[in-house]
This record gives sequence, C-alpha cells and structure tokens, in this order.
Amino acid sequence: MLLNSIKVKNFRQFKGEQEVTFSTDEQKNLTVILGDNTAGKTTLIQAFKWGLYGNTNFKTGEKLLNSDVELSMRKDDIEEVIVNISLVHEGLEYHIERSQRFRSYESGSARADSLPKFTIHCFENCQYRRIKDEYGNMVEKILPQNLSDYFFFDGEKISSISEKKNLKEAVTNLMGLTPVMNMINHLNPKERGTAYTELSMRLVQTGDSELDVLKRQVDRIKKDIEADTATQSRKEMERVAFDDAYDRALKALENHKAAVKKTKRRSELLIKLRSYNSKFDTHILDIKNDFDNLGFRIFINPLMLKAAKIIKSADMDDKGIPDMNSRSIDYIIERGFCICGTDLKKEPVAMKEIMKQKEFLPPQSIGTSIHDFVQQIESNDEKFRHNYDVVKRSYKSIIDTKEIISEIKDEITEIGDFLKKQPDVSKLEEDYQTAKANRKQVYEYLSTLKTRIDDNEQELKSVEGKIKKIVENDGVNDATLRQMQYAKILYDRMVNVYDNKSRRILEEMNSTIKDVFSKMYHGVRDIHIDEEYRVHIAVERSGNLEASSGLDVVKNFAFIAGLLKIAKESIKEDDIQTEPYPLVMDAPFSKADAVHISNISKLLPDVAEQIVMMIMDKDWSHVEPVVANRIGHIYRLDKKTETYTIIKAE
Amino acid sequence: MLSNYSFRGKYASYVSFLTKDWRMENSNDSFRIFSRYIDIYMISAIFGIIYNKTAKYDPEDNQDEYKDFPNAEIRGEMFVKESLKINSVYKVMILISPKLELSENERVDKAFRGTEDDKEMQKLLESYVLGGLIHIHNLFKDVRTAEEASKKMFDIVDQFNNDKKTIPNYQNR
Repeated sequence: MLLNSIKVKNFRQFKGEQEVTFSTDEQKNLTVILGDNTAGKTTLIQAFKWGLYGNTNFKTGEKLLNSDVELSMRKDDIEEVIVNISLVHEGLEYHIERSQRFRSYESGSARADSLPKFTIHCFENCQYRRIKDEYGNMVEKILPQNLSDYFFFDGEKISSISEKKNLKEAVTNLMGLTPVMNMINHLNPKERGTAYTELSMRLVQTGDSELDVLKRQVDRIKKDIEADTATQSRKEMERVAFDDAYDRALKALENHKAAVKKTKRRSELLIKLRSYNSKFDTHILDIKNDFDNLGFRIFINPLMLKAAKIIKSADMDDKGIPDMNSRSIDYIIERGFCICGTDLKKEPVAMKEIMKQKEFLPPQSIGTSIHDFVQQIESNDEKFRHNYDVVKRSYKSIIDTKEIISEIKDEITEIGDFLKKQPDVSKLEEDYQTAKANRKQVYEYLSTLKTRIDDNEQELKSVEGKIKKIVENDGVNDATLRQMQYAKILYDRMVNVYDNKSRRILEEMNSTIKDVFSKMYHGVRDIHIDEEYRVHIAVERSGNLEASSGLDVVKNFAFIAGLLKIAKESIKEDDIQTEPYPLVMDAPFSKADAVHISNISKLLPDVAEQIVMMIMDKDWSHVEPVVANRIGHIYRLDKKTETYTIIKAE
Repeated sequence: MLSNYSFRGKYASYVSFLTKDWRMENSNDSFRIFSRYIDIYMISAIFGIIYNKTAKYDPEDNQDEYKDFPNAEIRGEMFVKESLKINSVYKVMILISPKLELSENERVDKAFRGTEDDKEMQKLLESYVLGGLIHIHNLFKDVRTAEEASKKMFDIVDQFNNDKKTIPNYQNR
C-alpha cells in the first residue's frame, strides 16, 4: 500500500484546506515533514487515523474542528472537517474520505450535528466509482486497524511497539495468514460446529430406519460407556482408599503379633531380673563378709609395717630359745637334771648356766615375742594383696550385676512403651476383616465394570462398522462423503501451509531483525524474537539513560524494519501474498542519541517502500546528511498561532 | 581386758548406726556395716591410730540429745575371744603412737614386756577408739542403702591399697 496524499480541511490546527503529497518514487521514497513541538506533527497522524478508522485519541477538551473556524461561526453557520486520503492498494487507487459537519447554535460555538460521513472511491479501468462499505471493511483490508499502530506511530510510543500484546496475531495478520487460519478453523474435523462436522452430521440423517436403529444403538452404547467410565473413576478412588485401609489394618495386626512376642520376652526378662536382683543382694552381702573377715588385716597392715620399722630400729634382738619360757627352766631346775641328762645338783656350773638362760626367756626376755610379732607382720603383709583382691572381686560383681540389671530394666521399659501403643486386639481383627471385605468387593466391581466397558466398546465398534458399511453403500451419501474428504484434505493442507509459513516468517523476522539491528546499533548486542514475536535482547545495559533509551528505540525500529522488510519482499507461497506498507513516523528520534539516529535513518528508506518522517529540526540535523539522496518531498509545519498551522512545501 | 566395755552417749549412737540393719532391696536378708561392737572397737582403734585421732567422754557434751540413748556394751568374753587382734592393736599403738614420749627401745620394751593392765595405755587406747569411731561414723553417716554402704566399704579398702604404695614396704627396709 502506498500513500499518495492527505488533504485536511479544518482538522484541528490545520485551518482551511491543506495538503501533503507523499513521494512515491522508488529511490527517493522519503517524505519529510519538519516541525517543532506542538507544530502539528502528531495532529497529522491523528488525521490519518480519524480519516481511516474514525478514531481519535485527543485529550479531554480538544476538538476536531479548528478553533479559529469555530470562533468565527455565527449562529446556524455550518462548517465541515474533512480528511481525504489517497492511496494505492493492490494496484488500485483509492480515495478515502471522512467528514464531519458542525453547526453553530450560538456565535463562536459549534458542535457536530450528524454522524461522520465516510466514503471510499476507487479508480479502476479509468472509472471512478464509489465502493459501498458501510462497516469500513475495505479499509480493514487495506490496512487493518490492529496493525495501524505499527505503521502510524509517534515517538513516545516507539519504546512499547515491540512489547505489545498479540504481536503474533498482528504479524500473522500482516503476513496474510489470517485467512489461512480462518480456513483451518472453519474446516477443523475435531471441533464442533465446523463444516466438516456439519457434513458428518448429514450422513446419518437419511431417514433410513436401519440406520436410525443403529444410530440409537450407538448412542445408547456410548452413554453406557460414559456412565461406566464415570463409575469406574469413582470406584478407582474407593479402591485406593480401601487398599490403604487394608494395608494399615494388616500392619496393625502384624504389630500386634510383635506385641505378643514382646510380652513373652518381657516375662522372661522379669524372671531374669528377679534372679539378678537376688544375685545383687548376695554380692553386697559378700563384700560385707569380706569387710568383716579381712577388714582388720587390711587396715592394720600399714600400722604393722610402721611398727616393724620401730622394732628394727630398736634392735632388740632375740637371744632367747624359741618357744621356751622361764617356767620351763624352773621345772628343769626343780627336777634336778637337764634335758641332756646332766645332774644339775652334782654340776654347779651347768646349774649356773641354765639359770642364766632364764634371763633370755619371757617373761624376763621379750625376744621371742618380738620375733613372733615380726613374723605376724610379715605374714599379714604377704597376704595383703590377696585380701584386697578378694574385696575388689566382690565389689566388681556388684558393679557387673548392677549393669546387667540396668540393661534388663531398660529393655523391659522399652517393651512397656511399645505395648502401651498397641490397640485392643479384637478391634484390630475387626478392622482387618472389614478392610479385607471392602477391598474384595471393590476389586470385583471394578473387574465387572471393566468387562462391561470392554464389551460395550467391542459392540460399539461393530455397530459403527455396520453404519459405515451402510453409509458407504448408500449413494445418497456419496457426495457428502466426498465433500468431507475434500474438507479434510484442505484442512490438512492449510495446517501445513500455516505451520510452514509461520516458521519461515519467524526465521525471516529473526534474521532480518538481527541484520537491521546490527546495522542500527553502535554497540555489540544480541537480539532475537521468540515464538510470540516478542523481542529479546540478551545483553547488559550500559546504565546510561541515553544508551538504554537508544537501545529501546533501536530495538523497536529493528522490529518494525523487520516487519516492513518481510512485507516488502513479499514472501510468496501458495498464492499467499502480502503487501508492502508505508511507515509514517512522528518524532521517532526523540529518545535516541545522534549515532542511533544516524544509523536508523540510513537504513529505513531501504526497509520500507515509503517513509513519511515527521521530525524536529534538531533531530533533522543528524538525519539529513545520511538521507539526503533519498528525500522525495520536504514540508514544514509552520505554526502561526496555537490554533493555526500552515503546511508548507519546501 | 576382761571386763565389759560400754560406748555411751553420742558414741553409742554412732555404734548403733554402724550396726543397724539395712533391709536388702530384693530379699529379706539384712545388712550391717559392722556385725559386732567388738569389730567397731578394733577398727576404730586402728583408724584412730592411723589418722592420729583421739577423743574422750566430755561431760560438757550435749547429753540431752543422747540421754535416752542406750549404751552399746561389749562383753568381757568378746575381748578374750579377740585377744590376739586386740593385743596387736595395743602393741602397734605403743610402738608408733606420737602421743607417747618414749624412745624406741622403751616403746619396744613397753609393748612386749608391759601388761595390758597399764591404765595409762588403756586410756590412750580408748581415746584412739573414740577418735577413730568419730572418723568412721563420718565416713558412713550419709549412706542410705546397703548398696551405698557396700560402695563405701570398698572405697575405704581401695584407699588403703592406694596408700600402701606410699608406705615403705617392710621387706624393703
């Protein structure tokens, strides 16, 4: 589609009739409209949208009719607002005109007194004819409204272009795939209400009684299968619940068996405990007996050793005759003769000698006693270790027995705790039997259901087979069957076309966008679009506001450029054709930096068939050098007053 | 000593404690720390000498607490029966007691030549008995069960075994 011209009359700040003619030259395809802020650039875009679709996005209070004109109107004066767009679409020239009449009901004030008028004329075969288009369908065909934002956009919205929703739908539309999708939806054999299913419905409506019977049979069987399947689902849930209950009951019973075992063990342990407790007491009495029997010898031992030292130091040695005392000597003297037989009365020397011995015997002599005592000390000391070990062994027995008793008690406690948690046996048994019965019942029922469903499915197959045979043999249905076949083939083909084209479009878009982006952006970045046609840049931003804005602008221009390029190259496949579109931009570079402006500007004339660029002087200074040889027409919006702008050709 | 001997007042209460019947937990048997008063007499004397602890009957002791406490009497024949042991204790006491200011020869002479009728020595022995009794009572007074008492007994014996390692052995003189 190419724009020829736009004529506006009294449209907002464009007072009177004014016109812009767009360059349609293939090489010099750029039309520049210069103007500063509020000069009317955005208003011109609005004129396009109002002219084509009747839409405006004026702010509250803003009017369609030029304010000066309105002010000059006297009561009952009539003025018109007109927008007339001339364009070429598919080789034909169209004039699209929308007008709105205003009547003044009091001086200086007017309002619309009727609905806007809308006409389309086409110039074909040297004839200028009006096209009847009450609903604007023709305009939709030329430039669908949902795509218009991509081709008529202002600089403020540039950042959001590639993030709109329904991008995929828009692209599909643009690429001419919407009719294909419509056909697919229309023919889909799997959906209700489509041509295919409508045809299939016709097959059985022949009035044939055998067929009717069979059809009713099919209905009945399907209903039965549906009911049984629903029941099966419910019963399946029951089965799961009953299985759980059964498993739990079984486990509880098994725990009970363990409980019986543990109770027996506890009885054994109690007997063992009694035995060990008795042993414990015995061992305590043992140590007490040891204390009684050996305590004295153990405790006196150190004293005896000390005493032995004293005795040694005193050195009162034994000179006496062992086991003899002075009474023994008295006895010998009294009887008159010695042990050796010497007559002591006759031998005074012997008598003297023997009397002398009395001095060394107790009670006169203590040597023997000392000797005996020392021997006692030695003997006691030798036995000390043994005596101590006896006591120690008795004590160890106490300790060991106590440990065993503790272990037994622990095990008894453990069993006790376990048994406390065991429920009553009779209840366990009852639960088990109930769970078992329920489980059995549901399994049997499920088995019955399955058999019934299987049988029904078999029967259904058989009846449907019969129906098919009848239908196939019935000439009345031949045509319908052929139509159904045809519809199916067409459907499959369209699906194939759609899928292939969608894939190719996506590939082309990706390739184009990467290519365009790399030329527009002065950094190193990676860009791609996903299946929903959303643009992704796998990068980190520099953090610079200008740079990030620049990135957005470039990203979206790249996206638009991708669309335009594909449309321009007119991908042809299976007679699906798209049309190139112009690009009408209002202040597109307001958020880009100089480098980007330059890069984008250089590229755009190549990606679009026709560019209309509404731009401020400050940005134009960056653009003009790079597009000088592509400029077809230049205009300037000369703002005279707030309410009056003149479009001047330069 | 052939005549009877009685522990009186608080000493009688100690003796009573040390000879009381502890009921065994798991049987009808009973347990006593010391079976006989004479054993207490002899062991107390030993402990009194070892730890150099002496005591006597003091009229100023609080008699009210123990005034109704029966005496613990040891009959004379028990002393006869255990005369060998008592004699050993007596000799040892004379030989090593720091309370006697005697030379070694005098100690030996007195220990082996003297008689047990020596009143001074008897008095000394009694003081050791009473001092040792207090010591033994302190060792056992917190015991509450037969098991605890048996543990205490072993601890005392074990202590003697450990201490023995620090006493020069007679054979090593």
